[in-house]
Amino acid sequence: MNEILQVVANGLVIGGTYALMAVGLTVIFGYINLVNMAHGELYMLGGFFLYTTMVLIGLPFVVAFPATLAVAALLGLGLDHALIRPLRGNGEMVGILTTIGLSMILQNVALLVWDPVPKRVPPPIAATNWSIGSVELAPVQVLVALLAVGIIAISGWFMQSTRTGRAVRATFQDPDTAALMGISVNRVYSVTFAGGTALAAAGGALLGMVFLITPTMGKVAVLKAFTVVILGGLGNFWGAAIAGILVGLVESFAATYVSAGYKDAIAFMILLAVLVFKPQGILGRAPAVEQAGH
Amino acid sequence: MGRPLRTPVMVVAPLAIVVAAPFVVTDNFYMHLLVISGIFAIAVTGLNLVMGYSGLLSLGHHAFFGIGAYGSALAQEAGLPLLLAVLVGTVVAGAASLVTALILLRLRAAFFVIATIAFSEIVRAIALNWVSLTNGPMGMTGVAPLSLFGIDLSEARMAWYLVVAALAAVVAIVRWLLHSPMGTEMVAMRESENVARSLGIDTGQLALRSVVIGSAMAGLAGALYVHYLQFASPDVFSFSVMITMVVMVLGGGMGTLLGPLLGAVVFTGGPELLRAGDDYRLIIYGVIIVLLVRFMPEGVWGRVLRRLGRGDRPVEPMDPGADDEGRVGLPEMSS
Amino acid sequence: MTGQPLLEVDGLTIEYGGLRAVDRASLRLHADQVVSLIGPNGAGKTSLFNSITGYVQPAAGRVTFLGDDITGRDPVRIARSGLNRTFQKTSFFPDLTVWGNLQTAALEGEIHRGSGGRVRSVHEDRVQARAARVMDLVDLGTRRDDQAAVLPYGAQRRLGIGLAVAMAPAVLLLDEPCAGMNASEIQELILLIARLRETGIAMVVVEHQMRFVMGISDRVMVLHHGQMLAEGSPAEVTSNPAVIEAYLGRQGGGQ
Repeated sequence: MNEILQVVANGLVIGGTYALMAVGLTVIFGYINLVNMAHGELYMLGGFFLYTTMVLIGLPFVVAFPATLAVAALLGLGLDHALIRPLRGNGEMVGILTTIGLSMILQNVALLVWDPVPKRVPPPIAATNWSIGSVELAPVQVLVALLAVGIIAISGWFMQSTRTGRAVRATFQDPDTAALMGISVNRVYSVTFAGGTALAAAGGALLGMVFLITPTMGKVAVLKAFTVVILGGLGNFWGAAIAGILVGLVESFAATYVSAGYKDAIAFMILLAVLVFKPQGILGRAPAVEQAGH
Repeated sequence: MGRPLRTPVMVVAPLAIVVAAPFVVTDNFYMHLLVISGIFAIAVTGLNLVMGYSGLLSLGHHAFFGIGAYGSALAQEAGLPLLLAVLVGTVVAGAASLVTALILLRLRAAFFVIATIAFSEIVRAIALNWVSLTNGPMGMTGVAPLSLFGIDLSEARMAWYLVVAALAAVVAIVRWLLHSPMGTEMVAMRESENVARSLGIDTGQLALRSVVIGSAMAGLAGALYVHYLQFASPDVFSFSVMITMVVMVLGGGMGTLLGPLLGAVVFTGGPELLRAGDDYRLIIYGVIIVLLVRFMPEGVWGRVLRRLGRGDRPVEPMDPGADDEGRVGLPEMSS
Repeated sequence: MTGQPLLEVDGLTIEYGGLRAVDRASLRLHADQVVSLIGPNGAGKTSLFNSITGYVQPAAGRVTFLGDDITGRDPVRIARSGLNRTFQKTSFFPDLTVWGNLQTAALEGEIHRGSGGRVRSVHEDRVQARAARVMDLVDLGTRRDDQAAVLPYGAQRRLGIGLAVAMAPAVLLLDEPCAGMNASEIQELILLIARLRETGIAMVVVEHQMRFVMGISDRVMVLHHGQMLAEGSPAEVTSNPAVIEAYLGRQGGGQ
């Protein structure tokens, strides 16, 4: 029993970081229709940005974490401007190939900058564990979970209630009409991509506080994120958040009770099963995707 | 017009180069690179059929290369003669792709691409974890060397002839396919799946056939690779192998017959000669992919053909006046 | 108006996630006829086409072609049986030349309409002849070696129609063939429709352009909010008060 609760706690933490990453990806994939193969590297960079600002520069967490998100958003804007925008409207394959190239560049530059030795971000709060009943909880795990939930909630509120968020959704439903209504489609796409990048980076940064980070962690993570996005329903923001937690839990259980070596493979088998049997996801597509599908 | 004159030149010249190569290239290491190039040329000719002519971006192609490698190594270990083992590797790769494609080809474009990567990662996990079969991360040592009817072909200069013969067969098959109705239909499917279907082209069947043939070619390449190196390593399942093959096809010229062969030689030899470490190599590959997609989607050979005025028209295999080669842009995958 | 209709649509209903796009639509097309389908945007015209040609599964109703029930049949099989269509957007292979486009279609035409599906009995020279015949019919001989993507709009539309015609259709469905055309291109298209008709192809045409519709149609059907609002000769339909109210009145006789 004790062990199960521990596994659940681990699953929730890693699931929270997947949820963050997937929420970013579902917005980019579902709304801009860009299959962002470099999303895993943006997640990885989040971890290393936080590591750099905290460990190498020595900034406190409350400064370093927002700085990480800001740098990631700026990187997202830059990438969109330089690489993504010129390809818009040229079909999916062009976007896939370009972002694969980008992921190779980012991953291997990171290997040169930060070397392959796994890193850990020091926990920003007390290291003594809290005991709840028989379950040991590190305060940092609680912090990570709270931050993940908080950031997802703020982003969700942003998408639903702000003018920019509404513009993003309107553009997604009908770019031509949105353009007629005076929305700058290019700007909306840039903001979406930058936001998605910041969310991925947040996921990576939080992961680095609990687990080890390496420059190559993005490669497997991106597939997990796609699993989550498709499970949650393409373009479905809350679906991605819930499915992220689910995949984290499944993985945590699989690693403990099935086989650590196959834990990634199990996540991918879930992905294939969902793609084949329930391509609309278990939580359903966002309503507008349903219509765009025709 | 120039065709009757050109044909003998086009057959004799490459043949002479092939036969002479081991005598001209005396350095063993360069000869070794040529053999590896030839093996990759076989694999990327298959990838080109799938990606360049049919417009399906399968990012699991390296998995079939690996399945061919392990399949052949295991078959040979089980006692089959080498040639038969290579055949088993090829067939197993083709059969594996048939099963996979039957499931995955139902997916729309982007999901298909993601699913093929997930598939390759599953295969990789099996290769790493099913230790009793594959010996896990250690790989399989003591794989039998290449030989043919009792003749030892383990040395690079001997292996070269076998590899080139296999490559010639593979290229001939693709060329023949392109000149058959299937070639016309593949190009139609790549250009617009919707319009192709409206003309009664069964794109599902067609994609299946093209994936199975292309993957079997990857399997053949993997089988030759494993016996040439006498070692089966799970590294063949790593995504960087896939990236390397994509760069070979894109750089050489997607949807041209010879471009990917050129790509195989350049991107096998180049990094070795530059002594580039893996990090730098992959950074450069990433940059090359980004730049090619943006500025030269037809690849080097595609560009050359266009300059020569031969490639301004895309492939029209049924047209007796058309050339074997032609430029094609990046296919758009309709959803 | 005698004999069995070539194409018969009976009570066809199409739903997208609870939303009813077409509600019990019926249509009859006899040999040598041209029937036009008009109606405001979103009236369900293209949905109806998609459903007849197998791209969308109807929720209810029946489609009969040459006496066969083809409801919900695979689009590829339908295309092979002589019921062909064009698409509203791109209806050709943009990167191929005009000749490459027509050859591809002619090859399929020979395989499925000339040789009963047996690829081996297809003769190269018959493919060429078929492609050449269609090229003359759609008047693209001077554009033979041009890439389809760079053709003027009207020529692209004719090429799209040519591809479908190479399949030797008994019935041809044209989805907004005039979209984006200028007056002289529309005039050419009216002449092309007349030529196709002489070769014995019956047609259903979805179109907004009223001058075109009046020029080619034996009968006109009006679809409004997924339902058949009116049907009759062009003159009858244009004088129908319900139609004027729903469509013509607001759109001022087309675009």
